[in-house]
Formats: sequence, structure tokens, C-alpha cells
Amino acid sequence: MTLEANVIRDDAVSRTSEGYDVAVHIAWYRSLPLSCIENINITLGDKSFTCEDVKLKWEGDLLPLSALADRTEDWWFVQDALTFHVPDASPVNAGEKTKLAVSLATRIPYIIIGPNFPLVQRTDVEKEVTVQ
Amino acid sequence: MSIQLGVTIYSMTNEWLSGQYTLPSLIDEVGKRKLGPGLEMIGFQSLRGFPSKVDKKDIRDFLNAVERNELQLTSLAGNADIATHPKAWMDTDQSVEFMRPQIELAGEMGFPVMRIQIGLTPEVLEKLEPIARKANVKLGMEIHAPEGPNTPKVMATREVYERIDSEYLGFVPDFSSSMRAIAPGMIDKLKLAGLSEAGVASLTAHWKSDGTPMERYMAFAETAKAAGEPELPIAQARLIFTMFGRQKPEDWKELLDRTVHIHGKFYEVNDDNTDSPSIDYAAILKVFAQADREISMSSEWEGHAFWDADEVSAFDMVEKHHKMCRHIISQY
Repeated sequence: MTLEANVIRDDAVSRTSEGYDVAVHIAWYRSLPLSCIENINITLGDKSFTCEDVKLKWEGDLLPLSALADRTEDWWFVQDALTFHVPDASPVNAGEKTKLAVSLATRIPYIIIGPNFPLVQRTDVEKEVTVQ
Repeated sequence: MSIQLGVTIYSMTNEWLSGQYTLPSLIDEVGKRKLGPGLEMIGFQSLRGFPSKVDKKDIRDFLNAVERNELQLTSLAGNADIATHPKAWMDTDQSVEFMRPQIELAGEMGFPVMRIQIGLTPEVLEKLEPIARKANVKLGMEIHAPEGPNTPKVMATREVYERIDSEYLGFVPDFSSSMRAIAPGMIDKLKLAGLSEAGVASLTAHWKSDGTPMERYMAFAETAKAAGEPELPIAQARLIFTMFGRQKPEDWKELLDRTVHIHGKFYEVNDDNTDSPSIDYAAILKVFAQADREISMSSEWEGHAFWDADEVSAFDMVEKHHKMCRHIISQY
């Protein structure tokens, strides 16, 4: 439901020569800088990938999640999907169905819920998708 | 006195995120459904490149849509993103420079008010006042749950407002601070995520208990974990303690003189459009009806936190809200 329903769409997963590209929409109502992405885990079929495996495709670069903290000037516009690259030596073929699960944690930089403690919004979504 | 009705297009978050509207076509729908005359939006939601890199054409297209639909700009909602960097939060000067282009753009576009947020310290507010004055934009600090008219951070702001005493520093009361019940839709969402009836009862009791939002949430989470409730609804329940406040409606009176705009927050309206189960509108609007001037109020539907666009239309909800508010105001 709701913001969660927006996160992954039917055509979210595309096969590439090195694995998959996964299109993820923001799980919040407004744009946030990339520095607010705290964590992402992606599961495709029975294979799980952590934030150490997943990289963000951004303006021609592949950025590790650990490099996002300083990206305070680069914005994830609320209507756009970000593309995350997931490495997999044996991805399923385009046209096949697979289960996609995304667990996304974003820091909400203006909601401070305790001393030096911002809200971190965790969103877990799962969907059967057809690989593009 | 009177309250000028209007809408924040934040209400249409689901419709906006799905990509079915452009900004002008969304404004056209607001106009067609007569949900104005007041119109508010969130800069970081509605404008790509906000605030410093917005395409001039996007601004022109938006303003043309506002004009052809005979709407009146009421407030541009800004954000005080002090924790943008995970480790280095903004200091006073960085906060000022983060807010400056937002305020200046509000002025350029013709918004009379910019909604600002509680993260701005008295020191920042002091430095923003001349910027707001120059831009001819009144800054309205939103008083939103978990804060309320009398919480410590708001009291600090009230003190600095008294000291500076500028018409450019005011408040935007948001009715989320003064709710009488957890929104029923949120309870349904947690049940769907696996929270049991006993878990709901415990959640409600903790929401009504004493303590800070964090203390009350932690106490609930501990109890729920011990009772074997699933992890996801326990994590999701944190929002309840930050989104839904329990201040008394009559406490808004203390902010009345400095109120520059209102957020008519709501989650549901009853079938005959006379009441809202989780927010006591009759009690709250009575307070604002005492103002000696017209104040704009955006209908702010936040049911998109738990309903999808194909389940509930935000446009329909705002229409119902306007009917309810007109009914209540006509009683005074």
C-alpha cells in the first residue's frame, strides 16, 4: 500500500551482461539527497544482495553505497527511479518471472525524533516481476 | 474573521508519485474540482531542481496554471534538512544558507508564506528574518506532531518571536499535533502487516500514555517484542508516535496572533461530511474562528500514508473535507 506501493513497478528488473539493473522509486513523499540513503538490500529469486554488493548507477558512474554519505547535492527526485546494479554471474533470462524484494532505509533529514536521532524510514516491499 | 479554504497538493501525493499528472495538469484538476481558492505545495515534492535549479519554464507553466484556474498562492512549504549528511549536521550558518534560496524562490513565485520547520533554531530564525523581509515572504514555522503549541522547542521559538517581534515570523499550526485518536487507516495497515488485536490495544494504550514520543514508542516496542508481535509492524508503528500528537485543541489559542497559515490535516471524514473521527475539527476550528482576520487553511489529506490512489481519491477526500469545514464554520 501507499508509499510502499510506489517503490517497485512491474518492469523494475532488467537483465544486463553482468547481472541486473533494478529500478527503485523513493519511499517518501518528497525528493531527498542521495546522502539520505542509509541502506538497501535486494533479493532476486533466492539470491540476496546486501549494500556491499549493490551499486548505484548515477550519471554514468557506479557508486558503492558507502560513497553516498557525501552526496548531499545530488537529488533523488520524487518522480524518478534510481537504478541499482546487482551483480549476478547467472541471471535469469529476460521474459522470465522472478521474485523481487527490496528493503530500503532512508534517513528523513528534517524529522528529528530524539537527541541527535533522525527518523530512518524502513520500507520492505516484495513483488513478482517479469525480467526485461 | 474567516477561514479561507484551499488545498495543499501534498494531499495528492499518491497521484503525483504515480506519474499520472504533470504539475500543471494537477493544478488544472484542483481548479476543475473547485478545491481552492488557496493553493499550497511543497517545493521538494513538486519542483524538480528545487530550490536553486528549477527550470524557469516549469515555474512559468505552474504560474499559468494557477492563473487560469483562478487559484491563490498561499504557502510554499520549505524543508529544514539539518541531517542531510549522516555525520555532519548543519550548523547555524549552513542552515541559513540552505533556507535562503527556498525563501527567495517563494518570493519570486509570489507565495506570501513559506512553511518552515521546527529544526530551525532561534539563532537561525534570527538570521532568516531579514532574508524573509527582503523577499516579502512570511515564515510560518509548522507546528506539527510530535510538537505542539507548548512543547519545549516551540516555546523556544515563541520566545525568539516575542523578542524579534516581526510580522515575517509566524506559525503554521498543523492539526496533527492535536489528535483525539490514532487514524483508523493506520491501525488497519499495521494489522495487515501482522499486528494482533492485543498488539493494537497495547499500541493505543502506549500512544495515550505519558512521556516523550520516543519513550512511548520504545515502551510499546519492548512490550510488543516480548509478546511475539512481528518485527515489521513494530518498526512501522514508530511513525504513529511522530505523526499523531495529543495536544489540547484549545492550546492553539496561544499561537493565534502569529498564525500566518493553517494546515487542516485530516485522515478521514464521516459519511455525512460533518466530522472527522481522529481529529476534533469542531473544537479546533472554534479556536481559529476567534481570529480578527482572514487566515488561509490548506486541506491536507495524509491518508496516502496508508491508502493507495486506486483505493481512495485524494481529490474526493479534499472535496469532503471542504464540505465538513463549511458545515462546521457555519455553526459558529
